[in-house]
Amino acid sequence: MSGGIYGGDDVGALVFDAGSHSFRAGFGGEEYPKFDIPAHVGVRMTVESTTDETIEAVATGNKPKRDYFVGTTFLNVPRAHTEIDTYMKDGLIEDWDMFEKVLDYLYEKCLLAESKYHPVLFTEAPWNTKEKREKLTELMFEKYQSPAFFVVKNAVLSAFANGRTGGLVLDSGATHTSAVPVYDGYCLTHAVVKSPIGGDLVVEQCRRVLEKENIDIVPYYKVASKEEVKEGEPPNWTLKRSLPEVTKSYDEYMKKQVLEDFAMSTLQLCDTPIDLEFMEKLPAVSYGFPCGFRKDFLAERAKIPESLFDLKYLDGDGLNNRESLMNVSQIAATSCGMADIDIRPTLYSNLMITGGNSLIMGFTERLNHDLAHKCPPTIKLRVSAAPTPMERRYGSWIGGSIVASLGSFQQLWISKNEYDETGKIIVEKKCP
Amino acid sequence: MRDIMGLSQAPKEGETPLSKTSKKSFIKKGETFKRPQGMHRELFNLLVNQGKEMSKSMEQSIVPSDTKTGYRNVKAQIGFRRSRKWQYKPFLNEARNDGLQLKHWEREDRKPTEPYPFARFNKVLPIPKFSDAEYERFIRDPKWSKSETEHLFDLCERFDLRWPVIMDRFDFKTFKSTKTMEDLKERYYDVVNELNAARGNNVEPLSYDVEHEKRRKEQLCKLWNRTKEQIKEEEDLKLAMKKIETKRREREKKVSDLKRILQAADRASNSPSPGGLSPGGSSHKRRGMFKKTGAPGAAQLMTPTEASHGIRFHEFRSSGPHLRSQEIRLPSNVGQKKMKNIDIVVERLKLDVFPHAHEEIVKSYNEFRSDVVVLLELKTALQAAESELEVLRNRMQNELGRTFDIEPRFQVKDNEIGDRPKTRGKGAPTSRRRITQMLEIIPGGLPTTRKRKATERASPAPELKRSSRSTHS
Repeated sequence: MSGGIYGGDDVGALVFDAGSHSFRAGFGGEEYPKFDIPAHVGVRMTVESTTDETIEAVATGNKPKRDYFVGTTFLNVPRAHTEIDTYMKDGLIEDWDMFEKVLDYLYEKCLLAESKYHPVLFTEAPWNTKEKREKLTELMFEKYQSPAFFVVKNAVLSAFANGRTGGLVLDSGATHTSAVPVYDGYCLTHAVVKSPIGGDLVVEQCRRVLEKENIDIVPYYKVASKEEVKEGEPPNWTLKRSLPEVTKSYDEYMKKQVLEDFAMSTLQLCDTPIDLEFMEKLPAVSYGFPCGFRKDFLAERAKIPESLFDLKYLDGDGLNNRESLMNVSQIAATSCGMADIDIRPTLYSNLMITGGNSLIMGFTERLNHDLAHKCPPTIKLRVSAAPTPMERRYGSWIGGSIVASLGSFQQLWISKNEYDETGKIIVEKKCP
Repeated sequence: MRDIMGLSQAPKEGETPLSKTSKKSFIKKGETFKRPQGMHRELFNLLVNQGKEMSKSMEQSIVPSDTKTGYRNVKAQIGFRRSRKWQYKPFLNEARNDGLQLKHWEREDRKPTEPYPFARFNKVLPIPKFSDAEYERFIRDPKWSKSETEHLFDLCERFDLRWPVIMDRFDFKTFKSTKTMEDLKERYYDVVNELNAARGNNVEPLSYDVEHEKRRKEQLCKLWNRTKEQIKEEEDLKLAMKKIETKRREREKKVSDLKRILQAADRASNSPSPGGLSPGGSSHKRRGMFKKTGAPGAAQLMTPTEASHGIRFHEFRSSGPHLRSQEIRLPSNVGQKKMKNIDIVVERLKLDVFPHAHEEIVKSYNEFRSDVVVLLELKTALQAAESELEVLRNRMQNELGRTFDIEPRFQVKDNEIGDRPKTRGKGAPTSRRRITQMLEIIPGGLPTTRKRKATERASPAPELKRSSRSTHS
């Protein structure tokens, strides 16, 4: 029996983790997901000029055919008439057609596996609705003929990846930050608190700051060649010739890549609520843009991510209902407060930070400091975070991989037989 | 000779040395390798014979070693049998009831009758199930509808009695009710108890005290929500209480110390002549009195040694002879201050510092010095009491405007030598206090235990003292 000592029994399961920024996929039992494709898809209406097919399709009211471009290599190619769209909204799958295309791409081109031989483990957000869950079940069993299927909440999996069965999971991702209390391997759905601040917000703040400083963000695909210039001097680059007429959404998407890279390299959080002294003492970081422009960034490095913890720094005219937003420490404290008093000490002493946005330098220390002020001094507060960036970004996937390869999990799958007998409502019963 | 030299025998006819070389003895040219210069002959021989059939046996016999076949490091032998193959086969999981067969790698010699090893981890908590009839007879409750109860039991089974999760997933909306976790638990335990009783299972009923749990949780919530000010207030109160406690203890100690000193003084003044008693006997008596006064309220007090009853002189218990002058010797635990005061008194009263060591003289002298020490302690205590009285008087003056007089018998501080306090009249001291006036007190309050000081004591016959100390200590 393979891995009998450690409780592992690999059945070749596939683990899929759909996030707002990227979709992680791989085989269960492995350390990291083999495939991490963006959650954005290029959509192009097939521009076949007036063939009978398209006219017919339009006439009968069916959707006209579209081309989908999934995966970084296909997505990043500049094409005309191609919109960049995402199928995720608010952490849940919204556009099912697009999602199917993504799955097709994964099965065919990436995993090179036939779906009917591999059981599938999916992750979901703790606030996933019954309908979406059932739809996903239906999709996997009907279309892909999976032999077995299961859905788990991603907070529970993140907890498992950190080696615990309980605690407060603070997931700071692209579109939102959420605090989910997990007790004994089950998630307490009524105490989940989420706020739409996250990586995208930080990127948006970066964009505003750069616009204010009149820095033009030139995405990669436009640059044909560039020359080295001294710092602060205007860039010297040449536009690529024969670029197709790309859509605005594509351009925005590519600019966002640049901004994400900028955010990853330069931003840093202060350990305590920010003060002028810290901003002055902060060392400068020089960042080079794709067009060749280089600049040193000082105080902005700390001001931009400060908005995660102190909403006063949030710069936004387009942000509606700012009063209802909560900062990260408030999210954590509120979620703990909504849980039963008996388990509150365990939640505080097992706080796990996960999610890609938490990789900003200084995030853990700042959260530790803020929470220590908020909660009563008698309780023991222990904030833990996975050390490597990979573990934090793929936390829920890794948890899924662990679960799918456990021997004692093999009795929990929903099999095709059960689905055929009971129908899609079985997912409500069997998946907690 | 020729044999030794290896030369051939006497040349046969027609044979020449050259003709002896036969074709057969030609060694193939390709096989001879010339030994490179500088390389040792043995090394070259080894290298040249590598891989050849004959070299194996040669190498084997050369050096004895654990690795069976010679110089090369043999691969470690893990396991002593042929490796078994693994197969990718479907398997049956006993914990499942739908016959799903997933595939996994298993070793070829796994018997098909062996259960799936992880099936035994499928532990289930025994949640009782009730029929409709049972429900009607035993478990009806006004606050709980039947469907609600069934839902509760379904959740209990699914989540193995994990109450926070059950509470979280309970469908309050459908049943339009609001219940706390304690209510759910109460209902569950009540039903289980009823069913057990009805079915006649002889198990102990599970007791669940709802009210207690509710109160406990409420208290926890209050504790959790204490504001900073409240916590600070609590801390301040605790500190104040500690201070009060320590003050009370100090006061009690003072009182009992005083009592003891007074007792000692009483005993010293009452017994007319302690002539018949040996120092050992009197100290026994003192100890007995000490025990009586010490017992009440002395539990938490530091118990000074017998030094507060005067001086405990060195007892000679050994069977050998000793010099009586050694009995005059002051024990080392008498402190500086006491010694100084004794010396002052003895000098003022024009006594001999070292009297003749006659038995009676020795006894009286020792008792006298002991009494001086007691007197010193009394004076100290009285002085402390006088200071307290003055403080109180001042306070009273400040607060109430009135005052009271401190009677002369309590006044002991400023008495100079030569003062003649009146011994008549109200509140006057009972004696002339001649000796008291001689005593000097360095302010410090009541006597407390003093560590043994390794100071030099002036005494007669130092050599003898040293030798006796070594024999007696």
